[in-house]
Amino acid sequence: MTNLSQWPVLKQLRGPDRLGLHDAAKSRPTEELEPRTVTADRVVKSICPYCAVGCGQNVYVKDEKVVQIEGDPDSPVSRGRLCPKGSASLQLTTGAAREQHVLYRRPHGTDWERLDLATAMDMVADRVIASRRNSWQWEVDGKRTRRTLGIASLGGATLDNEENYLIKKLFTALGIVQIENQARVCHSSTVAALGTSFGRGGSTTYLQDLQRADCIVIEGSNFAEAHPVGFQWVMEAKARGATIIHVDPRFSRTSALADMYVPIRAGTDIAWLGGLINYVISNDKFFREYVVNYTNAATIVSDKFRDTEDEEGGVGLFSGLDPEARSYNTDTWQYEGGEVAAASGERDSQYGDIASEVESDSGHSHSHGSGGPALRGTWRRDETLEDPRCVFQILKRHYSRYTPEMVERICGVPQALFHQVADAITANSGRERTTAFAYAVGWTQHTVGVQYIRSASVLQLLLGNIGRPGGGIMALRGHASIQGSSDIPTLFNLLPGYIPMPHAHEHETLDEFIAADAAARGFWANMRSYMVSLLKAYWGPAATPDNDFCFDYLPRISGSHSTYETVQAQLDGKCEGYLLLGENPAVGSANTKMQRLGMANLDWLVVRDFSLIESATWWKDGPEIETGELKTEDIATEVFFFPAASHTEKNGSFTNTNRMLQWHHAAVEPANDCRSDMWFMFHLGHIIRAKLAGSTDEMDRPILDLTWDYPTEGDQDEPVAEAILAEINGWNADGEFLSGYTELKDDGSTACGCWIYCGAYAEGVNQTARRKPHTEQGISALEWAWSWPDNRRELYNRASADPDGKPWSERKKLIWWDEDEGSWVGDDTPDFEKTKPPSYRPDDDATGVEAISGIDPFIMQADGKGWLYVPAGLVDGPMPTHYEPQDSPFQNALYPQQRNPVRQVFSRKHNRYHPSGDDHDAGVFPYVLTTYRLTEHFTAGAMSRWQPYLAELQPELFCEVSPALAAERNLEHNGWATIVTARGAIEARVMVTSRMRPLHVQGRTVHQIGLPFHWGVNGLSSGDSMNELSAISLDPNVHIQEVKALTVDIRPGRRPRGADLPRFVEAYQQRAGIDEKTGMEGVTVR
Amino acid sequence: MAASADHDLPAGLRYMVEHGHAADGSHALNTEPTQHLVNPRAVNPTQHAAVAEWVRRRVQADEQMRSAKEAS
Repeated sequence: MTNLSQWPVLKQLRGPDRLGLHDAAKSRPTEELEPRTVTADRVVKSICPYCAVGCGQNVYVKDEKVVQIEGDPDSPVSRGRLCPKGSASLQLTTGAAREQHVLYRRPHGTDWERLDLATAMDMVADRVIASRRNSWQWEVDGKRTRRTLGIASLGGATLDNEENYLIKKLFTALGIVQIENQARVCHSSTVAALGTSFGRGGSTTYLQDLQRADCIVIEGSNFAEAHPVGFQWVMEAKARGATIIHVDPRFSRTSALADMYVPIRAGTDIAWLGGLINYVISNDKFFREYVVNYTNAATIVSDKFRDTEDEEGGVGLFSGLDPEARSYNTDTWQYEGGEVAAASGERDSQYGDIASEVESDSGHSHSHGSGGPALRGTWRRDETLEDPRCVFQILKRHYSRYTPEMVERICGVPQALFHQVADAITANSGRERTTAFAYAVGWTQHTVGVQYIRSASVLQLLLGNIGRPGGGIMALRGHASIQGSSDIPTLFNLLPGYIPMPHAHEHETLDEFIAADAAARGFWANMRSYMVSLLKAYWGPAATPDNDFCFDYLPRISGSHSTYETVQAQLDGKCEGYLLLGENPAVGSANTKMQRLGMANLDWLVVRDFSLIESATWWKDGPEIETGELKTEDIATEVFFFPAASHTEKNGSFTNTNRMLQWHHAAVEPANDCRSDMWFMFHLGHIIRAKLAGSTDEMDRPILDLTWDYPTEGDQDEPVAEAILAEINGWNADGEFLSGYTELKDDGSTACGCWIYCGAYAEGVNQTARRKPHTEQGISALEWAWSWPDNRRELYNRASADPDGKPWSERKKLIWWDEDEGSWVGDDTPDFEKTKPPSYRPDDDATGVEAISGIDPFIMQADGKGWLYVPAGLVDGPMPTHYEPQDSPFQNALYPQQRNPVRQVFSRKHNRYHPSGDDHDAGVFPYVLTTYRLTEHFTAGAMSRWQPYLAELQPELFCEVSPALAAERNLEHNGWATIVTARGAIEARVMVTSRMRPLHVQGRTVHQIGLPFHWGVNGLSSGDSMNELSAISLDPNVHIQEVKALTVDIRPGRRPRGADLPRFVEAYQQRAGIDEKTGMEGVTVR
Repeated sequence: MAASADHDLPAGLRYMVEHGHAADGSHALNTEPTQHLVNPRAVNPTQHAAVAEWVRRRVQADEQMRSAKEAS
């Protein structure tokens, strides 16, 4: 009777809940259920491990198991929200898809074998030692290198800062220079562009500040889907009346939520932004007082400089180009009367006799992450902005042909739409209003990626929108700590804090390195203190003034050692060992075939990840096995797979897209063989040091003298992550924790592992773990975690006040000078010397920080100004210039020069380029393809394709095509299409949608195809990889690949299988007349 | 607030009824921290006992560091 009374239908009929929406629908078991959030034993504070929004997470633990993960409502960034990926992170951390044990594939083996963890660690240590000895280079061409090119590593953007610190420290001490991570292939362009423009390479603003914008331009990003939780701040701005503009080849949810959507041809944003720059200048819409005082608009440029426009008709080349070397000598770009030292790496390379091609290859533009190029001498300014050689007039001439008509012709944007956007951004800029720009890898991944972001920098400086609330440039980063893996770089060309890696010279002392590299003015003038403190952190008591603080222990670079050069070194047999640390290049890097063939040529490979990603299993199930190009039994590569610990199983900090370090606590210990990368590096270092103990070989001194004594905790001897953060922060000779980088000394009395993170452990408190709820503080939320530099949230915020120190307007008040207090005050940490008054003017011979005047907001720039024109620091031009992508269906309508003349291209069998524009047979690949990320998947898929929720939500690779293209190529909705380039062919389901719009460009219609890039052959959701199609063609500043604008062909049906596939691709190459010279041209001016 | 006495209401809904806005802080400023309705405050340590002692040992082992300070 009791059971019958509980029957839901009876309860519904007899009780008050007649609609069955409440009690009637409950059974007794349901009523007895309790939320896991209630029954948990404890709640552990954490941070989402997916994209770089950095959402707060509460991790619920019961019986020492993670049972639930929820959004943390206290977080000022996320306010309790999680996107589908963050919500699925319980599956990521506790799901059955995680490998739990070490796996081993012996040379020529056909399957995995189990190996115990200790044995595997010992074997890897042996291989590191042997490869290092096999490939050691004391010198190259008579220049000291002290390094090995026989070993490389890749990965770090998904890891903690503390893990990246150990990777860089250990491998540097071993002499390994080929250390790279996802930052190379995702946002290296950002660092060089924002660094040269403003003095630091991080986002100038932070997500929450977007709510204060009056207009937001989102371009090169599908913000709403790729960073959904961060997008709430765009919606907050919209709710307050802001105008939202989305510029993108593809209509997406971001477009749907915008007030204006601007479809654009992929690969033409510089022409578009150049058009806006021209509009702002020619219509006198720029913020004159801001521009005159806070930018280099008034500075006079050398009379030797020649612009792209200066030859008849404008050929599209700057002065100083060496067509044979395919590089610019940038001397003529410099200011009149001043000597502008080049970017940090280049400044060093100018010392001695480094060849010019090495300068352009060394990735030195990347070193402006926190310190703009140095200035020396004196220079002249004309604050009327009338001098024909002042930056403003040069800029005006440079963009004079970027008219609305030209924009329409190149980009396919109708002139009326152009004017609507131009009106919106100019109406929403000035004293009372601000406009923000937000972008992601839609801008960075081009052969002119740096100059894309430079274009926005120029525009925002002209409009007076940098350093002001609701303004700025928001670089939307896509890995939890990709900002951190640039700051504490697992990158070949940088040391922590953007100190450049030293170049190879016959002999170079620390003082010569500093003298060649440090700026005379601004905070970069203190570089010796930053460097010596780093060397003390690395080598402790062994680092003394007598041995140059072990400066000689650092291995030297001699050109580019980026991940793309490393792949070629693998193919050429020069690199024999490779460690993949949370990165999946067999799916995520350009030209995946070359990635796999490179790995097939290794002696040994270490893969650390959650599941068996494609980069771990290519030898048994990769595409080349199917086509017969590789045979498992013939592959000699020895493969070790180590299962990784998840973010809930380790302590550490992520640096999010706001430049904010946020600590996540370990909720439980990792099970079985799963370990953190911190554990792996620490114990690998211990084993290697033990094996080398007693060695008298000079090559082993750096690893034996390394400070490697971190305390450990727990049953697994996990290094104490807080100790590593403390070393990153630094201490003085009294053992006191430093509170900021101004306390660093150059005499060895301070140690600091990363000067820009100095203050993160101030007073012995883990500042990155602070969690004062956002409801208890202002928008800047200064007591939530810690941002670099010096806990400043809005960079360059001195510019939020006028030259006299007063807010530009009450509405846009942020930081101002308080005369009574004698200091800068406001709702942020001032990005300026706190007591330096606006009236301060330096003496003519002032140096260092004293040379920065009271009206110089850009304190990391040697002249204190925002750079509209970059006189040094970039290798492909002082001002952004439109060039067509490497592969394009169109001729460059602005210049005879078709492509970036100094881009990096590689003529290899599996890396063929397409004919472009008017080239014969360019029509074989008539369509433009662009790539993108989905909400439900994450980069190369390792953290999403194995999660049931996410795999179910996005189960299959698809391509988006317009109805017109579908009709032209007989493509059926939900049917199959084959997409082809000279590199490969893939298949995808067809989605016919009006979201893809044909554009009218240069008198004809161009169709664009959208393609997500997450898939590979493994996981619950599998499919072909987009990067089978892409080529390795790189931006010359930072070596980032062009994967946002390709040309392709598309046809209905599935791709060929087996050996027919390479034959199919070769047939396309033959039809298009492609050979080793196609697309390799540098200068194309005839 | 009769509704708040109704223990059948989910905590989040009860919070909304009582406060007039959602418990997760959405679309409203100055809301209280929320999951605290059902959770105890999480432990969030910002100091680690082992670190200071370890740094002291590092400094102690570095004679040059200490002498540089004396010289300055």
